[in-house]
Amino acid sequence: MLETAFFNLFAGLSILSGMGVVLARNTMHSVMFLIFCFFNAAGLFFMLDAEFIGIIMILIYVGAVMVLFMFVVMMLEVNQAKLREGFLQYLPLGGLIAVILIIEFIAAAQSGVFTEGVKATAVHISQQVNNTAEIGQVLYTRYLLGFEIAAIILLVALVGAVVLTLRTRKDAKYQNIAAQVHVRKEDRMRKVRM
Amino acid sequence: MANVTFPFPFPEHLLALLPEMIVAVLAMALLLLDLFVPKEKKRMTAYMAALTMMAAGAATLFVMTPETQVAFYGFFVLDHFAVFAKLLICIATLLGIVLSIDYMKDEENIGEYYVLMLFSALGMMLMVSANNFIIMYLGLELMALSTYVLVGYQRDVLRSSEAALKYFILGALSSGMLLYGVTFFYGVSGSFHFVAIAQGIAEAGSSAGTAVLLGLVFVLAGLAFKVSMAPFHMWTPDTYEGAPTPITAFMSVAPKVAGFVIFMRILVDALPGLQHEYTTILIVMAVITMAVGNLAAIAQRNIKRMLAYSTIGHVGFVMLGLIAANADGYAGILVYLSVYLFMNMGVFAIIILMRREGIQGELLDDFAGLSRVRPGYALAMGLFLFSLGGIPFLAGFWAKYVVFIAAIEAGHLYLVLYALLFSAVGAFYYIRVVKYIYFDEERVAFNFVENRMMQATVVVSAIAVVALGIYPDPLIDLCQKALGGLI
Amino acid sequence: MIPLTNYLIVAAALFSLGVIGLFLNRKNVITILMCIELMLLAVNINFVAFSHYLNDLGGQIFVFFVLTVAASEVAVGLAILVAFYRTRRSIEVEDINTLQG
Repeated sequence: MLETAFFNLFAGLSILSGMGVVLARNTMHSVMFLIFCFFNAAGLFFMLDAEFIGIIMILIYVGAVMVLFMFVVMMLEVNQAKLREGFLQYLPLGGLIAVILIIEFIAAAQSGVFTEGVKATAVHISQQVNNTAEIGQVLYTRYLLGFEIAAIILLVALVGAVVLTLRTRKDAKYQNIAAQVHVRKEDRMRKVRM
Repeated sequence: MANVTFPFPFPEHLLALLPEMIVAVLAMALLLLDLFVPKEKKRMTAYMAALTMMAAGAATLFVMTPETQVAFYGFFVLDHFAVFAKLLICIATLLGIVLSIDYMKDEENIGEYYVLMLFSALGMMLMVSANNFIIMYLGLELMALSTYVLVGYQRDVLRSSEAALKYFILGALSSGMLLYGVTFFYGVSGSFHFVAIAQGIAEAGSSAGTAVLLGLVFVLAGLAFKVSMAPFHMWTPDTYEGAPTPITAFMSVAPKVAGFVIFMRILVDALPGLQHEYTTILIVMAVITMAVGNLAAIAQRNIKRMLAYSTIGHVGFVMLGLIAANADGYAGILVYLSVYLFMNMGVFAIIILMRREGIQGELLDDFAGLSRVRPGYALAMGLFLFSLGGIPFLAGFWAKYVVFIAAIEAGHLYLVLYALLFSAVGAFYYIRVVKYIYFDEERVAFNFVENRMMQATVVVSAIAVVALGIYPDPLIDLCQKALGGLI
Repeated sequence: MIPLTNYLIVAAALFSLGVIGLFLNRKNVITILMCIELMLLAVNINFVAFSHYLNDLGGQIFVFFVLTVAASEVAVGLAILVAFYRTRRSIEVEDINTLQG
């Protein structure tokens, strides 16, 4: 009973805040709604005994990714009103597609495999089982290759983001220490015959 | 839940990953080494990157064994199919690096450019060796993330960052769709391995009908984005036009190889039970793809945009191999991809050689009168374009021939007739460029980049196109043998 | 005990909201990126729900990878956006029309 109540709370709030992301007039409000949505989704993950995923959802998504979003929203001066143009123009088409999609998804969600048999309901795993330890045990053994590739992906994202945004300003005067140290007497001094 | 006993065994057959390890380690080493390379010697980085790809290609041949090797607890598979695809990827990346050396020499931070190309190649190599959705997705994303950055590398050029932005948004959307499809396969089968998914779908039978169908549609849509099948091709022309030309050349070939190879693996290994459904979807998409690609190409004035639509058209022809879904069809896809690599790289090499200050030899008019100034380039360009158009007794003709025959064998005669019609349309716009080259008056003075390696690329590609046109049997045999791992 | 279908429907609703958001906010790249995040969240809910009901950790591991990749994607995407903004002084997608024809 309590579980159902919490499920309804988390599910309802995450869908409502998802609508907020889509409909908010101000981009910053969208970011806030998305953060709230992630918190509720993390609640759903806790209910599914996936504590580790729920926690990294909050730590990484809310703590890092959404802050990055906020940072960019604040950094770029965005003309809010202009960005909203054409909002209602696409509402019928977007709405129609979304309605078709959701009908299909609900039909898929109610396929026999998901509603009958062992898969339909599951018992909670016992309190002795530590989800984080379990994930650690398979992540660094069976799924090692994926883990390594994920590390390289993070490296690529790092290098890529730096390459695209780092720029040395041409109007600023930098000190080139290597050049200063390597300077030779002949470069700076000239004997002038008097 | 997790039943792992420790000590866990060391990954078996680690040697099978030697090519990937070489690329990963050398790319990271290059990233560091580049800091110590002085600005005027940045070519060194490019040469080292080229050597890395050569070493990876050699290592691929070295680790190849007659039987299939499965490494890393069943997450990585090395069969002849993967070896063939990896060789194509290595060649395409190598040529992409060679084409970049001169074109990108004025950019700042050029070292990372080659490193990202290597990482992109690494992603593709992992992708073609994937036998499960985890490695496939990670390889795909490694490839895609590196390519987004490479497309936007000329960040002061508006159209470069614009192209990157469009490519990124649609690419991210497509991987989201792909993943949503994968969730349903996982839900039905409880596994990410292609073979286990096929079993799971077969066991679930009709009780999983809607979920599996939805999964299929989303996975197909996600993959179709990556190989630019219509109606998911919107990003292709803009991205091709805006990206630095060597990157356009690179991504018109290498990601297509990786994409089609993983497409075949998924269709054959994971979805054999849905052959009727996916064939229907693919036929509809192929009909649209061939029409969009070949008709829109006629209207283009910019050669990079024209080649983008031409790629879409060719993707439509390659899809016939997927629709045929027999050994000849899959071998035909490999033949097509190998031939397409040389034709396209050759064309792009000539476009880059014609680079001029401001005008980069991109408009069709810029090619007017090429035959009088550089008959050699004009001849090579003519060969490549005729081959792309499928004129008999050049390599491109056999590529089309093989897939068309396979589709007829599978009983899709009308589709092949339709493809022949659009093949004729395609020949028209390729020949129009040849007309500019040979029969039009020169308008602006030509100005060529003199670069031995790029000229060598042109010569090698031209020889490959002619030689395979006269004697295609070895390549076709090789591709049929390479299928050993798949079927 | 909540049935599996309920979780799937929540995920379906979030995914559809992401899709509708892509249509409605065609001009604002940042909101488009957030809509894609919403779609990935739906994917994650699906994976974790299946993982729980199948009693298999694989789904949670995949979510871990999806989170990693999504974070990298956001970093690269926002970097591209910043580079675009610097040359264009705007982030409207429909402004992206240098490449037409």
